Amino acid sequence: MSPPAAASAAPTPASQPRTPGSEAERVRADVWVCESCGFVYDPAEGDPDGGIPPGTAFADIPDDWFCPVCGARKSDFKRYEE
Amino acid sequence: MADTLEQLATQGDPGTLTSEDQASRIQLLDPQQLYELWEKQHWLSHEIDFSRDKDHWANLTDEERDYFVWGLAAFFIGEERVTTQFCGLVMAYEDESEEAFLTTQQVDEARHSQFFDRFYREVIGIDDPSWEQRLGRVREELNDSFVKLFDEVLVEANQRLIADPASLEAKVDFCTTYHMVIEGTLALTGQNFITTYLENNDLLPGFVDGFRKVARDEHRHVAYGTWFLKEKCGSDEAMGARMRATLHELLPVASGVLVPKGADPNDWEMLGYTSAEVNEFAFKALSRRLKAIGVPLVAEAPEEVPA
Repeated sequence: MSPPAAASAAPTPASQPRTPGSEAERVRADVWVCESCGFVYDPAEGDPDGGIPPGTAFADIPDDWFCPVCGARKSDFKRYEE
Repeated sequence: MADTLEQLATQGDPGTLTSEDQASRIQLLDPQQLYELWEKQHWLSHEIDFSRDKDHWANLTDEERDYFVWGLAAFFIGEERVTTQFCGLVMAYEDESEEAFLTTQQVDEARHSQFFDRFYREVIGIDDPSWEQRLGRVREELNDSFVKLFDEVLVEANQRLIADPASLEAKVDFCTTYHMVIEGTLALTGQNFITTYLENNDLLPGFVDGFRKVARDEHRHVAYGTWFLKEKCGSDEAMGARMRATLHELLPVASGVLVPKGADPNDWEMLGYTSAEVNEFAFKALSRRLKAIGVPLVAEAPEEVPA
């Protein structure tokens, strides 16, 4: 299933400069969206309240992490496609 | 002694300024987007396959069976209550997209009731001939806090909306009660621990399949409640204070709903999880959602809910 219409919920700008091919760019590309509510997980920001520091790739988030908006599980997220 | 949900809430939200700034930028799906998502996520409660669950049920330990009979009663009765006690919110729609989404939520609640009724009949073996008789038997498992929240608080909130669907105050009270406390704090917490336990032990595969679908529906409902409350309370101090007052009033009741039958309300276990773990999960889910709304919990003494 493609990401929900909340694809309009575009990821927020990262503080790092967007240098093509850089580590920052690679992390930026790893953006995921919650299928239930459209919350966007942007690794540049992480989820500090959920114990996920900025710079954490989605794959490295623990399986028991959940969406801060609707409570969906990590497995309910899909990779964000522009 | 472990902190209860009520004690955690009165301590306020310990989050950082950085994360609050992040929360304020979260964009949420609106009712039209949520309606379209509902169409994509449609499912049929009568197509869930319980064929392996009956054997699994027979082989559960007594402790597991006792817990599930109690824990799932709250879901079964809760879904039935909400199916009828939701019509006031449908009447309070503000545009056609919201009307469409809210009607889907009421249908979802009926579908969830059908799912739990099937599970109780076909797997647990509650085979009284009428739906009402089955509900009556399952109701015997509920505690006083559940009855207070679902038969009194929710019913009153719905009646106030029916009496005046244009009342913003009544709509905020209902969504705080239903989407934040009942679904967002209680249901999602129970679902998380029950589903995780069953998955880890490879038990009741049909039930887990249906329960995941119920949870997906409820994530969509909570997303609506979060959107609505952010729209109406996120930048309105008076409405934000109203939300907080309702939460401080209801969280002690909600805390009681989570306590298994006959257990010490301050120190209990369910399926190997301690009351501290369960309360912490519930509080974390609620406090993060409130930040996304823009109404974080505060430690100060709450205001009285205006009449």
